[in-house]
Amino acid sequence: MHDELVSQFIDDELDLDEKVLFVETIQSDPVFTKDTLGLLQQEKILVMPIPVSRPMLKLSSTKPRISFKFFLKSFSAGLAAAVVTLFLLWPDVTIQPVSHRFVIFAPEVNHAEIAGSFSNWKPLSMKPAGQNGYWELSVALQPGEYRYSYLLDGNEKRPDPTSLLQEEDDFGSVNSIIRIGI
Amino acid sequence: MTDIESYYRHSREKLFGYLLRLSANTDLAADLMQETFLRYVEHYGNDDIKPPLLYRIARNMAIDSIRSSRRLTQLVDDTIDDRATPDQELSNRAEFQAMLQAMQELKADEREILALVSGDDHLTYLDIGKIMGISEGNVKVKIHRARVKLRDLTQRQSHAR
Repeated sequence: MHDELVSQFIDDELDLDEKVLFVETIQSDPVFTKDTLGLLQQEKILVMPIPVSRPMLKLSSTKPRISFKFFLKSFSAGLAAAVVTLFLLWPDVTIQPVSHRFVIFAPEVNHAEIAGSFSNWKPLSMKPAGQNGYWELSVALQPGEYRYSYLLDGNEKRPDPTSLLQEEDDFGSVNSIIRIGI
Repeated sequence: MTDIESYYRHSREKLFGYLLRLSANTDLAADLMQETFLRYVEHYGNDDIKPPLLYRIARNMAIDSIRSSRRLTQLVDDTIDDRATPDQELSNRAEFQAMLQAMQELKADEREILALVSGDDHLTYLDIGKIMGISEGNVKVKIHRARVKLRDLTQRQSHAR
């Protein structure tokens, strides 16, 4: 009935009302109390710290790549001017599309598709990648920013769980964002 | 010392623990932990540390590792080095090892959600939802179901011995 309260208690995720309900249930339900104690004991084992035997890295000597955000902050005006000048002076420049492979882990579905701004939101069928529940599709993309989402069994929209950038669209769905070559 | 260096020195074992719970393989978990920190610094610099982002990188690398090899979910007998360990700690580690073994019986998403929530890095249900691409409410339900399933598995294992 209130089973998840046990895990919320273990993980410090109870709000005030749920704390009241939790204490009341502990007082009135011996089975719930026993389950709570059992899962707490299990958690004590599960969170046991294990030492790692690896030499310490010198992270300060690792060179960070210059990020897109840094570029924008520091050089946006100059960069834009340089790009415009380059295109004006060198009109024969052609930009090659880049093949990008989209992958999603969805072992429970029979059919996976991807739809995005690069396909005018038309769903493109993905192929199974091996036998482990992964689906993949490589798409040739020009440099730019694209929004996309996976479509599972034709009805469930799912954002890319590995994408760092996501946003809600006007219809309440969450799309992932990918930047290619910028 | 930068934020990331300080975090690495004092908390790298938390990320290692997450990867160990996920893979039950100390060598793989240690390799992935080191690589995760290097990638984080390469992509996001070393001034600021955001644990959810670090875990997301670790998760992606673990998934890649599953695809490229079958090292993950292959429990090795000597998962944890127990040489020169006092008796009580040895007993605790035996229990931990049995727990890791039971975790390998869980579905991939159940194992992962437990590895995240028990990673001792103060990841909230909201953080875990962002990492796994599911809602906070869904995280709540999945965590509890996975915990109960793990309890049932360990009880079955201990009765079988």
